[in-house]
Amino acid sequence: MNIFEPRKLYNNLSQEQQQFITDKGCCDSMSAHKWIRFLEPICRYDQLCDNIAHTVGKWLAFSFFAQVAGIIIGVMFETILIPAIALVPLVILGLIYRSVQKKDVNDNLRKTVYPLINVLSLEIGNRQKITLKLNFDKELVKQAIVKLPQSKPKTIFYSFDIIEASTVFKDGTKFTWKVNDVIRKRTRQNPRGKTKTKYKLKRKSLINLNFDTKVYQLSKANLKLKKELGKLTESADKICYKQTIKQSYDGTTGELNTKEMLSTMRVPYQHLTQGAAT
Amino acid sequence: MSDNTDNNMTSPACDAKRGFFTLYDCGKSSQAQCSSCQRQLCLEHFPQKLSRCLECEAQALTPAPALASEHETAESVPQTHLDLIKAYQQRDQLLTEHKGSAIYLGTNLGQYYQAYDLRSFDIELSNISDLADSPDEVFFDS
Repeated sequence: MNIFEPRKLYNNLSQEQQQFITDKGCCDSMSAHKWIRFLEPICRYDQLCDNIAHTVGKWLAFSFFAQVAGIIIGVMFETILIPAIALVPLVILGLIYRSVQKKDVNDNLRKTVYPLINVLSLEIGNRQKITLKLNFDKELVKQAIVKLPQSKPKTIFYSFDIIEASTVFKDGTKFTWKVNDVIRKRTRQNPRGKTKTKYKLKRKSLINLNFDTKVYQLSKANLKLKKELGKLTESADKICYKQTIKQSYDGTTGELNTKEMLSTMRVPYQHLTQGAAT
Repeated sequence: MSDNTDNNMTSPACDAKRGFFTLYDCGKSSQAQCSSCQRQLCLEHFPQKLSRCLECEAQALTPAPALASEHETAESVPQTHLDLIKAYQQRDQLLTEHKGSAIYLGTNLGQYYQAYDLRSFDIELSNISDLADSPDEVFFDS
């Protein structure tokens, strides 16, 4: 593994792609294959950075213990040389780890957004555009604070719209997808007087599909199931399907589930029959 | 790849179906025959660099991680096509798992997609959408 490879890859990226990594997001409207060409090198860069961060992280932990051992030996033999030598790899590895983490891209881009655009590329026309707003910059700043009814003292909620996507499928179906993250920060003081902070992430992924009634109509069969679902509504010009996927994680980050999302998107299709188009 | 022809005008339409939840005809002219499924396909669905079409490649590959470059068989397939193969693979897995849920909009389904148990709607896409693709635009350069 070459630790200079990410730097090389980063320099090969276009200015817009580098901007994406710096800003941790972007907002644009492009065709699926343009999005793929834009995001693919970023995903590859992220994958390489993750691999290097993982390996360097392991060596960093090892160096830390070596440093502790070095200090103990140094105290025993009254020498500063051994801890000083042990400090060198710790500092170098620390700097590499920091530089890799600094330009880290959220894994959801590589593991969910990018595969999903590949899927959408099959479903939409070549010229049809996908509007995508990505914001993975989840800095816990004052501007992101929201007040929720369940707010308690010493509990702060931060809200972020991390993904907003919309497009029109080839059959005229309008698709929108929104992902909202709410991070709960809870600060507590233990009996010994130590302050402890815990984070919890609650994610809502809202999928909305509006089907054209010229192409589809709602199946009169499975009415019970439709009622159970309660997510399908029909009007004169459209059949609307809304579904929210809720997930919660300990910490401030979590992986979106692509398979669950695609399975959810598939549900309304089984309740549709041929519409009035000729 | 076999039987490349330069004359697009006389070649039959591509047998592959686009779409994920709703499948529809590709609409392009076929350029070659896949040695695995024997279908006549366009260059988008059977790129010249592959030994078989994208859908046959997708069926042949085992479940893969999100990014194609993590794939075990990455050496045998050009990088640019792997992510698309992954998308076809996801379609194959989802539609095989939930048979009968997807829809085909068109009139010439063929035998290849029998495993999906598609519900065929006799609707021409050109009647319902003005999103017709430019015939010259291909997804990836092959």
